[in-house]
Amino acid sequence: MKQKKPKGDRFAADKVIAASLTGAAFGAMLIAVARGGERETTLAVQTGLQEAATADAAGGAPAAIVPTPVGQQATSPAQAAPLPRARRSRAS
Amino acid sequence: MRSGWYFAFAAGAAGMVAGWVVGRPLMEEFGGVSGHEAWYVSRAAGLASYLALAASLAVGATMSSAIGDGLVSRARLLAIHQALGVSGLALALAHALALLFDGYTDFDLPSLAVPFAASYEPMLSGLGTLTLYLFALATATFWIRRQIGMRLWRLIHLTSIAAFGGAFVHGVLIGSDTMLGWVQGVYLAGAAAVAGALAVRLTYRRPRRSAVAPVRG
Repeated sequence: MKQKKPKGDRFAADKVIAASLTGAAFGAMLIAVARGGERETTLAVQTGLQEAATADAAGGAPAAIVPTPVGQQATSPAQAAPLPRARRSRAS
Repeated sequence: MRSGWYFAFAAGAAGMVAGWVVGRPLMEEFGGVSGHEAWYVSRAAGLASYLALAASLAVGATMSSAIGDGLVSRARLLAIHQALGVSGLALALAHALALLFDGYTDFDLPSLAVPFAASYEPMLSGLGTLTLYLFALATATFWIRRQIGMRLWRLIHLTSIAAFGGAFVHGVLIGSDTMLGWVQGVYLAGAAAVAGALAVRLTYRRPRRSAVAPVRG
């Protein structure tokens, strides 16, 4: 007589595949977000350098380059926060 | 808890660990993001969670509509629906908890756990918290549906549609990546999958089997 397969084992492979795909999606997003972060950071620093150079040429004090957390003010590219953080302050 | 779930949890955890092991050096390679890992992990987990929950809802609505009968068994769709839901919920939790380690947004446990208590974007953050609770409720009640009754279970389960709407609004409005084309693609793909599956669920009528066998000759 054929023994009935335990109910718990049904579609275990499907569950594993679905969970693995979700984990893989997380990894892919992590890479994509980090790559986006690289471009944004580079752009922010470039923009900052440009603005600082413009301010120097005008003889004025360099302006704040990117928005920074409350209570702090970045005045040089070295102090500039990466754009993801700056973007968050945009929404606040 | 059945053995399939243990395997699924192990696979999901392994996938996340693999994502971290592979993604971490790549983050350094691409972005030099030391110090921002928590923020990156939170964003990635939020987006992956959104996709998983959208897929879960789409599979659930498809299963419920019976349009796939004959192609794939409902029991199989149910297993996939649940696994995607649990994985999406785990990622949503990771999305929230990662913020505890982010230095900028200044979230602590009470501001994450209590809706609208956060100092950073209180409305939208609170919407995210509520969404997480609704998804957790809809997922958890699956295992106690006999105890609570099908009627209440179905009602709770339906709130996951509202929760998905909340997740969409939360992601689009608070997400710092919303301006990026591929992120907009993620949001649109998830929303389109859910909307399409719900449209099928509401409009599809299963053809009735004829009671009388066709007469030949």
